[in-house]
Amino acid sequence: MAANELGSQVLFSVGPLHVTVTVVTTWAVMAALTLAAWLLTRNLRIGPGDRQTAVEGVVVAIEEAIRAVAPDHAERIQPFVATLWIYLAVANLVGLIPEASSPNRDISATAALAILVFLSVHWFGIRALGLRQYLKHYLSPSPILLPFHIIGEITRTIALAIRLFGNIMSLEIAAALVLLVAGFLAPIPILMLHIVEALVQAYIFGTLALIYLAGAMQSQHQSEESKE
Amino acid sequence: MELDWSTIALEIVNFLILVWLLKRLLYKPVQDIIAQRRAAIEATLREADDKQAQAQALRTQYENRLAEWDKEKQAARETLRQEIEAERQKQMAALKDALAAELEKTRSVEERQRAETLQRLEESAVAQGARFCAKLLERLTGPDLHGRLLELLVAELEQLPEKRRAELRNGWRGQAPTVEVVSAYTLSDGQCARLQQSLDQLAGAPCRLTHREDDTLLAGVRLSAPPWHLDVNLGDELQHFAEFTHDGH
Repeated sequence: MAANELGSQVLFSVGPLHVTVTVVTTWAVMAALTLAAWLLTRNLRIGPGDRQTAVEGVVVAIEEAIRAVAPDHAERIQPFVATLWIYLAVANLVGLIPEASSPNRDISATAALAILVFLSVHWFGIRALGLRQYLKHYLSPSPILLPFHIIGEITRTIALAIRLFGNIMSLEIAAALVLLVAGFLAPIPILMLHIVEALVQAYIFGTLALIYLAGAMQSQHQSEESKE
Repeated sequence: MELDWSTIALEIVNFLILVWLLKRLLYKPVQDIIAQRRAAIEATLREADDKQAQAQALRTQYENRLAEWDKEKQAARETLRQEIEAERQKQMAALKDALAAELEKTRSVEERQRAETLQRLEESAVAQGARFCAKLLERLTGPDLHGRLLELLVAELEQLPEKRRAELRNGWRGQAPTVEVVSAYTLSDGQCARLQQSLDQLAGAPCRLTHREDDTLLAGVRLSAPPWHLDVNLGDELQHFAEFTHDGH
């Protein structure tokens, strides 16, 4: 059982793959979300009860937020962005559980999400505009800006990963330090701050991903049309 | 802090699986039920709109029907008024006709009554005149007048045209008739002989005379040889005058 310092402890390996605590925690979060989704949606009715109303409220709120940014492609990107928000909100709050830590304090997990966002941006962009039209927007407004576009793509992906990783890791370390120094009552405000910060970071990551996706799916031609 | 590519790969796979699971177990069911609710609400709204349209159509139809009823009622009332007016005119005309007929009838009755009264008065006057004449003649008459009437009778018999004489003889069938002689006074022998002679000449054969007296004749004689009768006397003449007047001649 190997461990890396700010990374995650390797629990076991399957061939070349090392299954770390981060991965297992992610599985647990996935299982909890899946179970919750199944329980909440197994008896949906036309006339909703309180629980169904809350679930529908969450889903509709997410959908409306996505539609406000990308009205023409909301249905296509809604599962990806909504899952980002829901997963990050829950995963960020895992650190509140004693003896557990958020998967997002592992740079590999946030990097994986950032890579997914990076790939999704190109995937949805090409699907929406076509390969030629999509690649063309890297040359606008001038081909000279192509290197800067490429650098921007890479840096914003790295920024996504490091921002989430840094905030969550620092939150958990700060909470652990306060808990060690001030006992059990003093950390409560810190824990409240932890909750707020975890939700804010989830919202920021998902919103940035949404903006990147919407920007990729809106071509230069469409931009000019919309300006006219 | 270093990147673990195994974790990155597994996290990517994990997240993609989670996207698929939540899409299948959360987003799609919730979106489906919301779509169903919206469809139900839209169906309810459409049904409500349809019912509202139907109600509006029924209302319009009802209002149109009411307007038609008003028109029909007005027309029926006008027709009834015209019929009543026509019936009134008809009844008035019939009443006028009836009144005119009654008036004519009354006038006819009055005319008839007046004519009858006048006739009765005339008859009465004639009868009184006849009685007056009879009374007067009863005083004025006498054997002289009787004799002159008998002479007049004999002269008339002798002056009868031959055609008339032939008709009388045919009536008697060629036989000598029996002649009843009724006189107001007693006939003298000479008067009887003149009468016998005249009758014999008339019949063409000797006649047989029977004689009796009747003072109601006042003066003159009455001859009767069926089917022939001859009155030459004042009583019968007055009687004939009264009957002639009674018949309206």
